[in-house]
Amino acid sequence: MAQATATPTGVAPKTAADEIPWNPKVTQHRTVGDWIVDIVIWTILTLVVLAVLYPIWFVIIASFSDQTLVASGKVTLWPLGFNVKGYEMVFSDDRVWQGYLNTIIYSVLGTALNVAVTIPAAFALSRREFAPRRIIMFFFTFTMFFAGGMIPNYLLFRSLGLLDTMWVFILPSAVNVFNLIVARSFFESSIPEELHEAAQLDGESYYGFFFKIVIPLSAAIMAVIMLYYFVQHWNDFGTGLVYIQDTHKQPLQNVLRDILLANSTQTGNSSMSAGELQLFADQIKYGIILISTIPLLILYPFLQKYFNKGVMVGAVKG
Amino acid sequence: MSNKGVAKKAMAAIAAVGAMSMILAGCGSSSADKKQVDENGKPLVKVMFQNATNQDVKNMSWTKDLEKACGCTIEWSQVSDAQWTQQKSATLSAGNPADVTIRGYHPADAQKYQFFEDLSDDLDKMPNVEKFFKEQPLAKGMVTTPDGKMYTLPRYSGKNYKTSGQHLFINKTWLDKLGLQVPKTWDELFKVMDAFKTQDPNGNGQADEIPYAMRNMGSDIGWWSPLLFLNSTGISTQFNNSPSRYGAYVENGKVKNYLVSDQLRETVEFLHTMIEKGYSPKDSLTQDSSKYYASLTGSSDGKTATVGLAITNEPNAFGADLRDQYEAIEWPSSADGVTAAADHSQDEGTFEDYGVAVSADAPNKDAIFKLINAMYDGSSNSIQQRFGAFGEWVTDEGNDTYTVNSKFFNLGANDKSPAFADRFAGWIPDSVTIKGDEAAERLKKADDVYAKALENVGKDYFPITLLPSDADSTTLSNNSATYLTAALPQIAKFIQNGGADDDATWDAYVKGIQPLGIDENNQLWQKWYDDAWKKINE
Amino acid sequence: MVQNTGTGASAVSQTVDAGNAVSAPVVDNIAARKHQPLPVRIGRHLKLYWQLWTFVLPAMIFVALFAYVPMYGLLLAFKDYDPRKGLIGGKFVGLKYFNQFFQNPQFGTILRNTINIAVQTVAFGFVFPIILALLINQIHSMKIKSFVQTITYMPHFISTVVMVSLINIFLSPNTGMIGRFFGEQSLLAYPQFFAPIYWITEVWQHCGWNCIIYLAALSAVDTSLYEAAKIDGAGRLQLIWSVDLPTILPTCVIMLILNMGGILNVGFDKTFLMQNALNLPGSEVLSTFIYKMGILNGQISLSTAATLFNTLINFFFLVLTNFISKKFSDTSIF
Repeated sequence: MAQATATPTGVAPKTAADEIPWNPKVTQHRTVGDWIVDIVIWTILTLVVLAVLYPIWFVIIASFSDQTLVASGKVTLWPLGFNVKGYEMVFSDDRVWQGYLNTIIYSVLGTALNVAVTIPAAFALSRREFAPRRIIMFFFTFTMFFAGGMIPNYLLFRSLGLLDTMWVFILPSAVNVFNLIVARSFFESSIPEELHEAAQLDGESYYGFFFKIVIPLSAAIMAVIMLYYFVQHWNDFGTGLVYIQDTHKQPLQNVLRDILLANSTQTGNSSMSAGELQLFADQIKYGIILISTIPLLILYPFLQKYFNKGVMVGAVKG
Repeated sequence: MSNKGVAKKAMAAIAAVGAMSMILAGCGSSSADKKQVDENGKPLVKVMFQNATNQDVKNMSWTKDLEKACGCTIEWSQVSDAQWTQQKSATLSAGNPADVTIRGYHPADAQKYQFFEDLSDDLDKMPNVEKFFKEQPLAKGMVTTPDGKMYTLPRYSGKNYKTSGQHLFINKTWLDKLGLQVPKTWDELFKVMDAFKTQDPNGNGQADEIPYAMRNMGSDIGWWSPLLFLNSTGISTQFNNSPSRYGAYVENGKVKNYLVSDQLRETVEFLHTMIEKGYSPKDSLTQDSSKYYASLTGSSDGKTATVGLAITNEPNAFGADLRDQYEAIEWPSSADGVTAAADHSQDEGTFEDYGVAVSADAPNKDAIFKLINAMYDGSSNSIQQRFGAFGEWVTDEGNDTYTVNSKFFNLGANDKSPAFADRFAGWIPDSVTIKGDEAAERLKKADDVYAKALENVGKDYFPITLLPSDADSTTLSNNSATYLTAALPQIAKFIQNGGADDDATWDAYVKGIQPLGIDENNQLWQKWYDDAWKKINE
Repeated sequence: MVQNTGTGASAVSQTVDAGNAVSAPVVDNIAARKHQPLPVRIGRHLKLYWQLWTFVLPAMIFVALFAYVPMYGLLLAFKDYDPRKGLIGGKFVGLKYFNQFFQNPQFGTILRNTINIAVQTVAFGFVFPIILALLINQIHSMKIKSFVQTITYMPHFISTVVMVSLINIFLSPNTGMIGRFFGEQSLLAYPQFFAPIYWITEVWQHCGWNCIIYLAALSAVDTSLYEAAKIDGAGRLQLIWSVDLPTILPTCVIMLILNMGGILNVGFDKTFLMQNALNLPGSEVLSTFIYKMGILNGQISLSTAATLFNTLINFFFLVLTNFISKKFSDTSIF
């Protein structure tokens, strides 16, 4: 079977095992060296997963535990003094639900605009025959470093009427140059030149080439870019902090931050004792991770399956 | 294409866009329509309130009374604390504060950004504010700038809140159990600490006692800092809020800096002993604040005390079950013959200099003055702002006596507050009696312990009327940021590892800090300290 | 997919041939067109490429409006800020604020700390995601692969505040999982350990997230290359070395260039929250300094000058790396 795969003609037999041809399991040349490499890889990965998993697990159990026990280091493997006060506090606040809704709206709309603007631009900039691309790239890259700062932004948004509206979350962040560069370098390295020639021979314009050929081949990069943008919108609290006053327009992150800070204000002659407030604050702090992250964790495997679509590039070429 | 060429073109592009933006920015500032009315033609006033998370003006029915008093409609907006720092600088730089801002802008902000109405010549339209200033002259001095302007009005929480937030608490139950006296000197204190550490005062058979719970040292000096033990050496601190947080103190009318003083040296050596002997945890200076707060409340069920000595504002910090074990005590003297001082933050505790500010461009000024006059009536409107609407939250007993419903002080963390609480813009006259405010009573009780020590301080403190000019406050804050960054790590090191007892080491420290602007700051603070007392004596 | 994988091998050689064949005449054309007058050249360019312009223009307009228009704010670094005269209406003072910044007694320490922390973070933050991606790519079970990816990517979403509490709890002496092995003081009390703690936690938190881009690039590996390599008797390691790594190399280079552009960036929030009085000699960095001098003290001009300095250094490194990379690997951003 493996010999067949390796025939110079490159004609592969249609066997299930060959679906993943680099799968080491199908290689008959499994040397001792390979076994050692295998063991090493699996050991490292297991350690990595444990090293990442434990602190995450800790956050989860800490969010259900008595905070005095957490602070004194007694909580290690299982929740102690089990309670859900932190979650109760967060979810009984109606702003949280509004915040969730806002964040979803801003993230979905924002990401749609981001992808619509970034992907075509990245494609155009990846075309080597497009002479001005280096200047344009410089034009973009420059803005990664030089920014006017909060106050000129504030003045601009005010004159455009964006202050205190949802658009302030969507329009100014339409292009993230980092993502643009990532997408462009993907197109550069993964879209073979002969595809373009073939398209030209078929009489396709750049539009045709892009929409009919490039897009279907770019599921992986689209998934990555969408994920990057979506997470960027999801975690954005700077915008709400400065440019939004209306509580009902605040995204989730700002609402959570507000709850968190309100419960950890330590100074001042307040009537509730600082110690008590702080304990609430800690529990909320851990709980917030779960509350704000779960949607993203659900999203990831969904996008992840597209990563393997990139394989198709190699396929279509022949 | 060479990079140089690219850069050149890019620069040209930037220049072009930049020019365009100037025009854009210029267009933005068109003259605002001066007439601002609601749909019925009534004057409309836009009021911004910097709220705490549990505050929403919608839940405050008493605001209707204010609208009635000013004959206007109020359009409320709110910005929460968490956002205010950012939004403040944005609104100031962009030059558009709301018509009226409650607890947003300090006199220092208004000096720098002159978008605010000078209220000093409008006081005749606000007789209640005049009355307030007559009863509390400090309030007037607090907001009067060096050039005689008044951009904000202060708030005054009343005599009940005339307390510092920095008190030394000891576990009296432990003292009694071990048959010990309240320590009067550091030597006695160390003996008590030793007993706390070794004699199991909480009686649970475990060596879980923390004789002195020392708070961490962050990147500034302030609330509940271990450096409050400076009071033991006779230097009166003012850690609520004053130049004292930047090292300044007053000795016989002369401003000095304790960061380069022998008293600080004694204090850090004292604190080092606390760490070295194990009376305070070895990681006290670096531990997370949350760990510190958690430790104050004792064992995990909050029923067994584990802390012997701590600095906080009021005993409730030790938890509802343990607070009765703790008592505020005077700062023990650093040595026999030394008269200990106490934290002199009482005025800072009840006065705030940023109750309300009015935009210079605001339309409907007359309505605004009526509104402010109502807020500062010193009776129904001020009280309702502070504690909530009459009837449900406060009962007016007549004779200037008000009883606050206990539910106001027992609001759950998620309950909405019915009032501006300590963020109100108004005043509570000294003739008014507020009943039912237990937290204030506990605070007052703790603060009374220090009355005698405070008498000894005399005039050697910074009055709240200290308000430097804009240029000077920039210099002051630049210098203090510089020398504090250099001094704090070394102080922390002395406390942690010792070394302050070595003359060469200490001298090197002083020599390193002194040139970083300490002398200039002393001079400037002296100038404004003198000015502040002049304001009071006028 | 099944039908096609095997034919990849021939496609590779085609690519190479095709590339060579096409490029030669194009170069000649360009040379010839250089002699035409500018409007003709522009007209010709637009006729050929107007569709590409429509692709790139929306992005350019957004960037021009939202990034270039506010950029005039940078002028503040050279001006005294006077709110009465508008944002940049103040007096021109040249390099006054830069001098003030450079002459600050802390400047040397701050710069040293910043470089120390940032260089370590950039170096390790660059290498580890690549290694992790190559390792994850070796997993053949989709389920396990997905599990490992999801787990390693989770910490990215931990907010800085929580991250720092985690660091505190884990390093706490006596009780912390790690701290209990390091005596009675927290590791955070030592200035010399600040940088390692910073970059290790940074790698821990973002490694899984940053390897996504490499995983996506690895998905584009030309499968026929594996076949070819296997014929040559390549083992697992050699496959990684000679097939996987070259495939993601352009991505790696781009990421390196971008990382180098952050050579003076040390995250403000995290550093600020991790600072304490004892580690300050090792933890005061540019961003925290800018915050303390500029934002807390309300000195917009000084903080703009410091930010601009930071930016210029970063930009210099990006341009430098970009230049070197273009020269040696033909991969570059611009």
